Parts: sequence; structure tokens; C-alpha cells
Amino acid sequence: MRKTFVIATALVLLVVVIACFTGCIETGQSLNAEKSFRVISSWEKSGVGSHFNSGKNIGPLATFSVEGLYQYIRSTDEIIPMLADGMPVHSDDGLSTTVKIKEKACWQNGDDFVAKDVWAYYYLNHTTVTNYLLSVEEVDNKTVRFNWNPNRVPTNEVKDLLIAQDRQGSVCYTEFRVYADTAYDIVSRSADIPDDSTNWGAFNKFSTGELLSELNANFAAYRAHNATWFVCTGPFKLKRESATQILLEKNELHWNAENIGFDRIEVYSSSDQNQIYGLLANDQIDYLDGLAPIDTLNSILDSNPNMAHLKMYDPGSIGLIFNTEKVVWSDKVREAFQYIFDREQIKNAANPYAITSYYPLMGMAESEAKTWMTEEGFNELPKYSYNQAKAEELLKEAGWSKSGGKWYLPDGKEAELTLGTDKGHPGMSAAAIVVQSTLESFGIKCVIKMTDHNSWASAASMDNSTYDMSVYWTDLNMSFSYPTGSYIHFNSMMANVAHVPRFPDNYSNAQLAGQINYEFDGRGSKFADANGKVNFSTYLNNMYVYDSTEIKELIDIYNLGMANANWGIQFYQNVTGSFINIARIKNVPMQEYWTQNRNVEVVPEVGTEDFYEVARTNLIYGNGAIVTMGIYQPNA
Amino acid sequence: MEKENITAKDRIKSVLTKVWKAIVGFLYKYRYFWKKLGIAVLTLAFSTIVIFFIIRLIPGDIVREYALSLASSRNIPYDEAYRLAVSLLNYDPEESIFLQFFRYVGGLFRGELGVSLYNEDITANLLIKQRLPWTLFISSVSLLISFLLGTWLGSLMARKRNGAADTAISSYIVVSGSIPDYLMGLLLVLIFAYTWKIFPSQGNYDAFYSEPGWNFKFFYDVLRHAFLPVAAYVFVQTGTWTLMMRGSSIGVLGEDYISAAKARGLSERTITRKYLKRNAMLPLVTSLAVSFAALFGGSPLMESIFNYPGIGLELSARIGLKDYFVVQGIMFFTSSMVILVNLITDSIYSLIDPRVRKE
Amino acid sequence: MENAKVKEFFTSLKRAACEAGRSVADFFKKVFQNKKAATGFCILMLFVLMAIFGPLIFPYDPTVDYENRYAPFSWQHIFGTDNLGRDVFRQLVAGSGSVLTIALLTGVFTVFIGVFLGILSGYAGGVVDKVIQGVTNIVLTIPSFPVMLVLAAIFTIEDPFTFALVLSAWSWAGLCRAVRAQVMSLRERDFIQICKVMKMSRTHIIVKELMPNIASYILINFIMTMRSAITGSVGIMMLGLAAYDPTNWGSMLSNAQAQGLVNPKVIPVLLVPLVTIIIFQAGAILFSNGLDEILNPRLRIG
Repeated sequence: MRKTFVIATALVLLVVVIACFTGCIETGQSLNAEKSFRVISSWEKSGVGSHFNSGKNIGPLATFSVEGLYQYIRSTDEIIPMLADGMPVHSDDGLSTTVKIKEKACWQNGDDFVAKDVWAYYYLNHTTVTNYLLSVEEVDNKTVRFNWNPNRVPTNEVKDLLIAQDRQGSVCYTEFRVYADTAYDIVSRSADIPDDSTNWGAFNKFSTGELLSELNANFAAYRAHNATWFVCTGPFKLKRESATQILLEKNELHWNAENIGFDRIEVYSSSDQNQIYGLLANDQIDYLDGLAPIDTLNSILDSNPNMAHLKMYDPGSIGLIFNTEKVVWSDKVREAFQYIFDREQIKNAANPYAITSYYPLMGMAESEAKTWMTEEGFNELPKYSYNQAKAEELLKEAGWSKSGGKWYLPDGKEAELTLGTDKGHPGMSAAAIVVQSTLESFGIKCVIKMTDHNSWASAASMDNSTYDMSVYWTDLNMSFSYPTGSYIHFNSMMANVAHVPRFPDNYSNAQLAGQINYEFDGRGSKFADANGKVNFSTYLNNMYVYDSTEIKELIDIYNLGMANANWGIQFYQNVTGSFINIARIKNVPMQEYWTQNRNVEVVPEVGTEDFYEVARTNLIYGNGAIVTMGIYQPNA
Repeated sequence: MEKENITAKDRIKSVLTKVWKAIVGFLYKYRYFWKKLGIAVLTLAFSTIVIFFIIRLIPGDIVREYALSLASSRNIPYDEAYRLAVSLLNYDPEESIFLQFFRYVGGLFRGELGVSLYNEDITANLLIKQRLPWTLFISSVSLLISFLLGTWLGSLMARKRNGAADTAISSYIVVSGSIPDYLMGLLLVLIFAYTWKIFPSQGNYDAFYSEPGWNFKFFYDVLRHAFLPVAAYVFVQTGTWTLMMRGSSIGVLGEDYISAAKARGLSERTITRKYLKRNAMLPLVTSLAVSFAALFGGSPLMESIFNYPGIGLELSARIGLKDYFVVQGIMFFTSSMVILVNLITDSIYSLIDPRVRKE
Repeated sequence: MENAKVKEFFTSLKRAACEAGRSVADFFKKVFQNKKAATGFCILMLFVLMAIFGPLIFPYDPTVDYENRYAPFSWQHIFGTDNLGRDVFRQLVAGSGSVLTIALLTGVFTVFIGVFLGILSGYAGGVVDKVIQGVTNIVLTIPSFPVMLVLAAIFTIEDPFTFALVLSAWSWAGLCRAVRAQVMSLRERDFIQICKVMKMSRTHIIVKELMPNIASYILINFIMTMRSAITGSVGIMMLGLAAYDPTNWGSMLSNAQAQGLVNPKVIPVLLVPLVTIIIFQAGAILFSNGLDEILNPRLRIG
């Protein structure tokens, strides 16, 4: 036994010595000789499957391997042609749009990328755009035509964006032929939606009963299909995957292969913020989107001289949402709460680069509201200052009373509120802590529950939720910056947290069942109904149809309506950013700034050249477009 | 003719009785084992039921949550995501809980521990196959090292009581017992991975530069990545073994045969090696088996600190996702391992020590 | 007749109290003779004093003072301030109450369930024993951490009471089994047999004869359960499954960790609660090891 012990000790020592040795060597290199781009991502660790729609989280492959005809950049709405050759061409009557495909575009297995593939993509995946289409057809091998539904024609600008947000390069017709043909057959057999109906569906069809279950079964079969290769067209191929790392290798067949400088993408995984910061500080990853707490950000930049941080506006605000289901939130109390918080202080603690907002929850971030509302409408929005005296006055009017430094509800119970938030978001958790400390100093007891996003979301939107309020996005645009995005996201996410009233699930109009039922003031416009009101759900799904002056009137109605409903408080419009390794990567924008200070504190103004360039660097906003286009090059 | 017939019958009869007797004798001889086996099977059955129903108590709406994650991962509107979620989920919310249970038990008999709600390709079997080896690797290596180290230190302490070594080791026991293992892991990462940069801070091997297989590079890489988690485990666990060994050794030192050996003039080294360690370690082996069985569950916090792809991390992630079928499959597997290891230890013990059988 | 019985009851109670007082005094005498036990006891008492009187001397102000974040150690802020400028030492003091309550309650629940079922099972035998042992077996075979995760998801942990319930729900089984084994072996001993022959009541046998013999064992287990309750509660806090209480040591740790340890200013904010937890645990271990030596004569030989 002694012998084994000695041998074991010797082995351990050997590993330590070699580790020290290699560890020291590794820290010596700095430039990018192996032409790699190192990022962090998350994916299905048991295996990413073999195509985009397999239902598994494919993580980095979605960024670097699966392309669309176009790539649009979130927040700037810039559209970059990828598999398509030039921008879409719209017919004069607006009823059809033609897209040419690049001659060189091909799948990673060498097959040509053709119009039939795009056709198959749309009949298999009924994405948002199909709700506005009558059909997609193959004109010739490399030309595809979209025919719009005459009853629901979006504006040309929106048509481009709707096409650009899809990933057409994920369905290869020769691989998925069986499912695509079946899907087309089922859609063709389904009944047309009559002209006068308010219903809508993919390709103006409404599949019900037998046909719907056939469609679902076909979709499930398509999803479960196992191809022998990962079906995609993008610039990087899946080379190796382990539970914690993925290695992607350059695809030499790609249409832009000669301009793509990187040979490999090295992907790490981690769900722990602390670990990710460690990887950044130790120069193990080249890029990370988002922002770290300011002191952490500075120490990352201090310990890694190759790292720079750029900042950009986020089309969303973070704030407090009231759970209006709770009786405690009378109109007066909600108004009082608008005055309690020092929003400047919350912003400083959560994200010092952000822009403090003095508005209530109003459906979109301040910068977006300014763009999309009429000037009069925007000036009409209520604004609140930091004024605790006013808050006390309002609370007393609402029947609350204060004694011994503590607030009591009208029924004599001590005021105690439960606050929920997402633990994983550094800004939200910091904001929540300041909210708690402000309320406690003000005399209202406050309990915080911080969990991961999913647990918080399900607990906060449940009926009879334990949460009285939540710190979360008060508004967020997840899709292109056309205003509908904010409202659709509000409808699905924040409205559930605020418990905004809804139509019953068995409502006579099936398409309104379960939707928000809240009436805004119609402001005397043409959108108002007989009572001068506009219901939130009426225009939610056909806003794309209205043009510039009409849309502004409509946005005024929505934003003012939501602001007056007082469902929450905006603390600040978020500013996000990206960490980029400036030593290993060439062509990082804003060079004149980061050569002076690697923590670039300037947030580029909307519309400037820097605004577009910085947004492109964000891999969430623009996917791998910056690498595919050959803008980023390795500093070999 | 008739007589012959009878004798033939008798012969058959006698053979049958012999066989019967042999069977009964066999059953009777190992009756202790059969009883244990019965209890084990019963325990397993009840644990299966408990696991199944306890998981169903988690509040929340899976369809909604899945739709939310689809919406954010694919950048699609929520209502579209919801429709997608309903058609994609491997789960029928209408199905009654008892039907689900029977389907689950039926699957267990076919060796299928459970299929993920989110994807038919992801099964509990697959996850166990992929993750368990990594968990078992780091935890059994550390268990072995800490056991050997602990028994050595423990017998040292027992022999040299109130000496300098005793004081040093007892202080170590107190310190090591005071730090939760995952916090020890956090400290080690901070020192060795961030400050000195000697060891990798996370992962099981570097897939970018070494490929799994029988080559030195891969082996070395795996060892390098395992070093910090193993070190953290060993630091924390050794104390417990030392303490146990110390107690057991003191008991053995008081026995007559040790005094007899001393009287015979045997050297202390011989006594330690031949009598003390062997006898003092015997009761510890049961604890070793129990600890080994517990390893099958992994350690979620420890694995998450090192981002080590073990079963514990996977299990806690699946609990977060409310992937019911996979969670119950993995938990079933873990508890059946505990039961199996206990059964084996008990049986071996009863063979070695006949006194146990009486109980 | 009735009166006499009551009187007898009270005198016996008085006698029991006197006896208990004497044995407690005797116990403390023994504790202070043992170095380990004395050190451990002093550390634990220090924490108790901190929990009771600390908040009165060093009241905690939850107000965020962003300008004054990550202040170094000073007389004004003994252990500096955290990422939002709150005094770390005062947080620690303010949190000691709830942390100790959680540990204490977990200890009480676990020991109560474990000892109750253990004695019942060991003493009653038969079907009761079989059922209890069956349940204990099941609890021992199902891994505890996932169950704790599930329980934390089912019950919203907002107060020390629920927290303690969740922590002790799956931790009593080992104790129950050990107590049963002790009781089983004691049951066969002469003095219990004599009591049985003398037809003494069951409660009498259990309370007067059995309990004193396993009391030391229970006490040591109680302290060790308190110790593991702290480890468990910190784990649950770090996974974010319980309500965030800025002063809970576990949330202090997880908050520091979330700020990123690459920032050297975070290190003291992490180390202060970590070292506090270590000191508390060390106190518990020393005390229980010392007790083990005092009460378990086998270890005194040699």
C-alpha cells in the first residue's frame, strides 16, 4: 500500500510540474497565429443534432453556420444580403417580391442552394412572414417570388425586414423532400380564409381538425429527422463537440470563403457569470456581448490588456412592473410609487452607462418613443421626479398610514411587498437590491426573490403569484425596430407579469381568446371605435400594414394608453455592449476611442456611422455577419 | 411391468424431491440474502413512486416556459413560440398523472429511464452514459485518495497521541471539516486558475487541441482538468476518513492481540501494518461502499464551479428546465445504484461475518 | 387520592429538575476541562451573543451608498463595504440571527424527527419498526440534493421556518437509523430488562432509562446537523432558490461571486462571510469532537 501511495504522489507531482510548465508557456502568446475566434455560448450538451429546427439548442451553430437570404441587424435595422444577391425587388402593385439567390451559394455538402430550398423552408416553417403571404414560388433555379395577401400587405420596408429575419439556409429540399412535399400538400388542401374574416393564418389558410393534426405530425417528423451532416450553408462547419466545448472549422465551399479570414471558431460554455468574467480576464475568449458591473468591467480590462469594451443602445428599458392582480395596487398607490425611487441612483448601481428614464412603463424605450410618436404625443407623456414627500402624501390619500417609521395598509396591516427578479441579469439584480433598500428606508418591508429567468417568469406570471412586483424589462423590442415588436413582446411577457386583464380563453372570437383586453383612449383618431376607444389587441397583429403618418397616430394611442394605465415604472433605458479582443482581431470599430481608453464610454448616437458599425459587432444583434462579411480579420 | 413402472415413478419422485430439497436448502441457506433482496426490491419500488410524485409537485406551466425560451432563443414573437411549443413538446398536459405513471413504469421494465420533454433524442439513458463516467472519474479518484490518505493519517494519530503530529492533524481535520467542498473549489479556482494560471479553471478536457482516444495528450489533458476538483474533494473529505480511522484504530489498539503482539516483541511497524491497519480498516470499508454509492448522484454545486460536465450538474439543470421524465429517470438510476451497492455490501459482509446474519 | 398523586408528581418534577441542574453543572465542568470542547463552546457562544446583542450595538442600514462602494477596512467600516456601499460587518452581524435560527430550527426538526422515529422503531419493534425502517430506507436511497432543489421549488422559502423544514425534510434518516440501533442494543441490556420485569411504564423506561444513555449521541448529532444546515442553506442561497436577504451569509457569498472574482476588490467581500462560516463550523466541530471525547469513554483510553 505504501508503494501505491508513493506512486500516486509522484504522479500528482508530475502533473503539477508539467502543468506549471505548460501553463507558463500558454500565457506567453498573444497574437492570433492559428486564426481563431474564441467565443462563449450555450447549447444542448448531449449533442446539437443535425439541423436548425431539430428543437435542440444549437448555440454557436446558429451564429456561425446557419444563414438566411439576408441578415438584419437588430436596433439599426440594417439588412445585409447573405445567400441573396442584392436587395429584394418589389413589384409596383406591391403584391409580389422577387429575390435573386447568389450563383455561388451552396450547402456545406456541396449541393447548390436553390429557390426550391427557400420554398421548402416556408412550407415547413410557418414563420411570421407567412401570415402575410399567399404563396412562395420558385421562378427559376436561383429566383424565388413571394406573393403577398392582398388583404394584409405590409409596407415595403417591413416586407424586407420580415424576409430578412428568417433563416432560409436551414432547409435543404433534397434532404427534407418528404416533409416539405407533405406540408405543401396539407396547406393546399386547407380552406382559404374568407376576405371579410378577421382571422389570419399562414398562406391565408386555416388548417383545422384532421388537417391540423396531420400538419403537426409532419412537423414533428421533420424535426426528428436525423441527417448525416449538419444541414446549413454557413461559413463554419461543425468539427468537434464535447460537453463543454465546440470547435467549428472554416467551410471552404462558402460563397465568401476567400474573404473570411478565420480558420476556426473555438466555443466555450458556461452558465456562470463569474466563470465568464474569468475567461475574459485570462484572455481565453475574444468576444462577449453585454455589460459587466462597472468595477468588474474595469478589472477585466486591467488584467487583460488586449480587451476593449464598446457600448450601444439597447431597444429596451428596465424597471419595476406592478402585479395589478394584487389589491394593494390602487391607482393612488401606483402613482405614489412612481415618486419613491431615486431613478438616477438605481441607474448608477445597475448600469452607470444607461440613460435614466422618468417615464412610467409606456410600451417602448424613450429613444424609440421619440422616433415613433408625434411630437405632441411624446410631450403629453407623464414624467415623474424623485419626490418622497409627494409619495407620502399620495399614500396617505390612499388610506395608508405611517407610524414608528413603518407604513401600514388601509386595513391596518404592516406593508410588506415581495419583489421578484432574474438573478442572471447583473443590472436587474442590482436594481432590485436598490429598490429593496429604498423601500426599507422609506418604511415598507420588502422581500426579494432572485431566481433564474425561467423560474422567475413562471412564478411571476402565475395566477395568485407570490410576487407583488418584479424588476424586469418594462419594454423590450426583440425583433426589428418596427414598433410592433415592443407591443408583441409586452403582450407575451410583461403583460403576464403585470396581470393585465385578458379575454376569456373560451371567447367567441377564437383569435382574441386569451388576448389582452384593455381599452385605450382613441384620441379622436380614425382608429377609435364607436365609444372612442382602442383595444390593445385590435391592432396588435396588423400594425405592419400602416404607413408613416398613420402609424404615428396609432403609436401615440398605444404609448399614452399604457403610460396612463400605470402598470410599471421605467428606471432606465439600457445600454449594452460587447467585449472584443483588439490584439487578436483586426478592424474593430471606434479605434480612435479605444486606443485612448479601452473602456469606450461613448455610446454612438442613433444614425451615425459608428452606430451601425458597433451594432454589427454584437453577435446577438447581427449573428456572425461581421465574420461572414470579412469585416473582422484575425491579426495573424 | 407394473413394478418397474412404480420404481420408475419412484425414481422420478425421489429425483424431484432431491431437487426440491436442494432448492429449498439453497433458498434456506441464503435466506438472509433473499430477505435482503426482497427488501431492496420493495424499497426500489417505493422510491420510484416517491420520486415520480414529488417531481410532479413542482409548480409551473411547462408549455409557457418552453415558449418563453423558444421566443428568446429564436427571436420570434411569443404567440408564434407558444404554438411551436405546443406542437414540439413531448408531453400531453391532458394525460392523467396515473397514466403517466404507468407509462413510466412500463418504460423502466424495458430499460428506458425516460425521454426528454423537449426532444426525443435526449433520454435519461443517454445523459447517464455521457455524464456519469466524468462524475465517477473525479469523485471516485478523490474518494480513493482521501480514503488512503485518511486511513494513513488516522492510524498515525492513534499511535502517536498527544504528539505534534496529532495536534497538526487534528487542526487540519477541524479546518477541512469547516469548509463546504464547493467553497473550497471556489478558493482553489481563485488561486490556481486565476491568480497563478497553472490549472484550467473549467471543463473536462480541451476539445480544441486534443481528441478523445487512447493517446497521451488526451490523458494528460483530462488529468490536468481533473486536478483542481479532485484536490478540493480530497482536502475536504480526508478529514472525515482520518477521524473514522482514528476512532477505529484506538478501538483495535485496546484489543488483546495487539498487546500480545507487543509482548512477543514484534516491531511497531509490523504491528501497524499487519494487525492495526487491517483490522481497523474493516469497519471503514462499509462506509467506503456507502460513500461510493452516493457518488452516483454527483455534486451539482461542485460541478458547476468547475463547469465539469457531470451528472449532478446535468440533473440540476434538468430540474430547472422541469424536464420531468429525465429527472425522474436519473434519480431512479441513482437510488437504484445506492440500493444495489448496499445490497452487495450487506451480502459480502454477511458472508465474512456470520454474526450479522442473525440480526 | 388525586391530590396526593399531583403532589407526588410535583415532588418528582422538582427532584428531576434538581437532578437535571446538577447534571448540567456537572456537564459544564467536564466541558471546560476539555480544551476542544471549551474552545468550540466559546466560539458558538460568541456567535449567539453576536446574534442577540450585535444588531443593538451595530445596527444595519440597508441604504445603498453607491459612491462609497468597495471601501477598504477601516474603523468606520470594519470589514469595508460591498458593491453597493453597504457595511459588510454590519450585514454579517444583522444576518447572524437568521442564519443561527435556520441552523437551530433545522437541528431541532431533524433531531426531533430522527430521535422520535428512531426510538419508536427500536423500542416498539414489529410492524411499526418495519414501516419506519422502510421509510428511512427510501429516504436514504433517494439523493438528497435533487430533493432539496425540488422542495425549494415547491415551497417558496421566505422565512427561517420554511427554510429549516426544507433542509431537515431529507436529513433525519441517518440519525433515525443510528438511534434505532442504539435503542435495540440497549433494550437487551440488563437494566432495561429489569425495568420491564418490574412492569415500569413505557414512557418511564424511554424517558428515564433510554434517553440519558443516548443523550450524548443526540447532542453531538444536533450540533453536526446545525453545521450541515449552514452548508446546505448557503448552497440553496447560491443556487438562488431562496428569497434574497441581503444580510444572509449565503446571499452575501453569492452576491460577491456574481460580481466576478476577477475584481480584486470583491475578494474581501467574499472572504469575510466565507471565513465567518468557517469559524462557525470549526466551533461546531470542536465542540462536538470535544463532547465525543468527554461522553464517549472509549476514546479516553490510551
